[in-house]
Amino acid sequence: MPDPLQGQAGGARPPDTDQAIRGQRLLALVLTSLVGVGAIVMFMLAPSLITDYRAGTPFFESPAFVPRFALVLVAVCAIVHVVRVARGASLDAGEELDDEDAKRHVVLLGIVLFAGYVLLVPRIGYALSTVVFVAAAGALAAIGLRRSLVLAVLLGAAAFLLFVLGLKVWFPEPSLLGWHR
Amino acid sequence: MTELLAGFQAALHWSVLLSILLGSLAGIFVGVLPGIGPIVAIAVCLPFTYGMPPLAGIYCGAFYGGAVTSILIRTPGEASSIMTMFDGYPMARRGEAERALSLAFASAFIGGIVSAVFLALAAPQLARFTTRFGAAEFTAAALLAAICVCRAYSGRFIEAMLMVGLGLFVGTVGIDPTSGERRFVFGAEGLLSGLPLVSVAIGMFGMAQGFVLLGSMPRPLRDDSTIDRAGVRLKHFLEPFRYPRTLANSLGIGLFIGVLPAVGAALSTSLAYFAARRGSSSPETFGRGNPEGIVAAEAANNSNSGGAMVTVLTLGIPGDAVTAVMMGVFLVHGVFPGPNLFAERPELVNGVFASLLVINVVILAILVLLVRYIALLVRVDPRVLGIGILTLCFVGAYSVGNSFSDVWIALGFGVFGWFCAMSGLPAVPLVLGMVVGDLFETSMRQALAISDGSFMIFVQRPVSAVLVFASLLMVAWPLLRGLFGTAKRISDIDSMAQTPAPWTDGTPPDKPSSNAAIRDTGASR
Repeated sequence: MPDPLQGQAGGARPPDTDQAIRGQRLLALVLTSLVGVGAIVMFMLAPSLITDYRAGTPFFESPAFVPRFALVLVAVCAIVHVVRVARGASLDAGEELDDEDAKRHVVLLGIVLFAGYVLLVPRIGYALSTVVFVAAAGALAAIGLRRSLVLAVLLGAAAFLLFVLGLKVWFPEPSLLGWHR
Repeated sequence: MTELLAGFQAALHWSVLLSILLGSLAGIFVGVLPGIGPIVAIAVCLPFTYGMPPLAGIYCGAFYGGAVTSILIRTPGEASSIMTMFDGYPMARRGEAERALSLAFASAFIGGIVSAVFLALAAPQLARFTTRFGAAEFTAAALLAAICVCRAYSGRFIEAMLMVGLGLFVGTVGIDPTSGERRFVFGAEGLLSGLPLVSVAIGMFGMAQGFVLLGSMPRPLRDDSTIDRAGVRLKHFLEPFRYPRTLANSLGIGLFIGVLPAVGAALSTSLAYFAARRGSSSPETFGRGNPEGIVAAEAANNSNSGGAMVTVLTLGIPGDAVTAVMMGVFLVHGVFPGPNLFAERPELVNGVFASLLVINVVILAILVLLVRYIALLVRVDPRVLGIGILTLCFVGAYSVGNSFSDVWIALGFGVFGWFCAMSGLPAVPLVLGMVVGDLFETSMRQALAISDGSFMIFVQRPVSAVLVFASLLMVAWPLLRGLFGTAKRISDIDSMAQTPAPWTDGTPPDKPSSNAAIRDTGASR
């Protein structure tokens, strides 16, 4: 089966595949460029980001030696990769994450939802936050309202029993539910 | 021997057996469920597992579980189960699903047991050898491991190198263990102890996969009629021994590949499968339900784990991404893998040996009894799975230090991991870079302090010189292979030009250009 990222020689690709490939290539360019630029900036700022940095220290005694070596490696590889991608090198998604069919907007909203979950736990407690998160995530993923609510209650209860009561994972007192004290 | 018996005694304690059982079940489930692998499960469960046995159970169970879906529905649960699918599925389609599953489990069991025995025998010997390692040797070994990581990503060497470098940098955030200086903490007290490996692993693997599954729709199964025929027949459990040469070759390949840093089980199964096909008297039957194909793939797959643990225990260098994350268990409990571990904590090491043996027995028993029900897991909605994984990731990241900042770190790396996957940047080298980088920095600074800044120390010591040479060879190999390949093609062209051809009309053709000759001989770069 021909790899859509590489294209088919001598034949037209469907327009949405072309668009997807262009989008992926643009993302790769932006991300790698950001990483490369970040590495260069961190390299230059290293002396000020390391406390008690002394310029005259032998390189092997300096705490900046390995970080700067790593940043140089990152910057050089980023530049090479950006040039290769800009010239049309294929982007192999690899097998680490099966991303092909995932709806991007659902993934992005899921990330926002999870951030909300993290903010909610110290305010309304772990169990309730988990129920809210699971219900909302189920609705986002379109698994059906009833299924989402059932899953939310079951997962919330199971997580509370297992982690809070069973494994004694400590959570702070919910700040919004302490009104009765 | 008494220490090994003590290890068995510890492994057979009811609490350890229970944790092995739960870990093995989790591993089998993970192996069966397409879309998540053992590294996701281990990263997520790491904060809750207070010892190695349950994690080893997940690790080994996933290898067994991957074969179930490969055989029944032609969907490998793990990358390392792809080869099993080639012969397992055709066998299942012609009504021999029970035979295929029995062959797979029996071969995997043999591989797992041999792997555990190898670990018990080889690790102490290697540990004795590595007690003579100094800072230079450890530096060179860490360098070789990092390069092996990058070479394992054939065609994506630059991307892997970039991520290793990033992992190396991320590992330096926090207080420098040598000088006590604060590095790249930006005034945040929470970063003084560095970016926790567990949070990074949970984010890069667990959360990223959870978000992706949330956005996935259930995929229709190609053919689920074989799911109802899942089962085993004990009479087929001895069948792997009918192919002793294939079995022995596959076990050897799996053990050897397992020892190599960063090279995973998928490669060992491929090599073993194709070696079995080449050595077979009927190679054309491979891919059509030949039992030898299943034996080769599964034996190699499961003999990988012991080899991978050898380098973790003796050198503190992970054999693959999974063992890199598992090393977090040791580090969290203040145990530092390496040659001294065998002298300081023999009961721990022997407990690992014994646990691996027990784990394989437990997993086999679970599969014999429950494979019919386990196979039904393939029908789980990936979105529900994603929600479950994210819920686990939250509490997993939080419980690292009972801190919400660890969850934010995990979320940040989860988002980064997703972007990397879309951009073709592999995530595993970043985690491996963090783990190996710590050893690399500490050892290198020690070695250079001894040599007063001279890099000659790495070539003056023989073991270190060999490791450095191996590293350089691995980096330069593609270039050398290209040069040798070109030289051979030129030589072939010259010999072709000098060989008289039976011209029918007495007139020789024009001498071909080198490019045309390359095309004609089918040689390719």
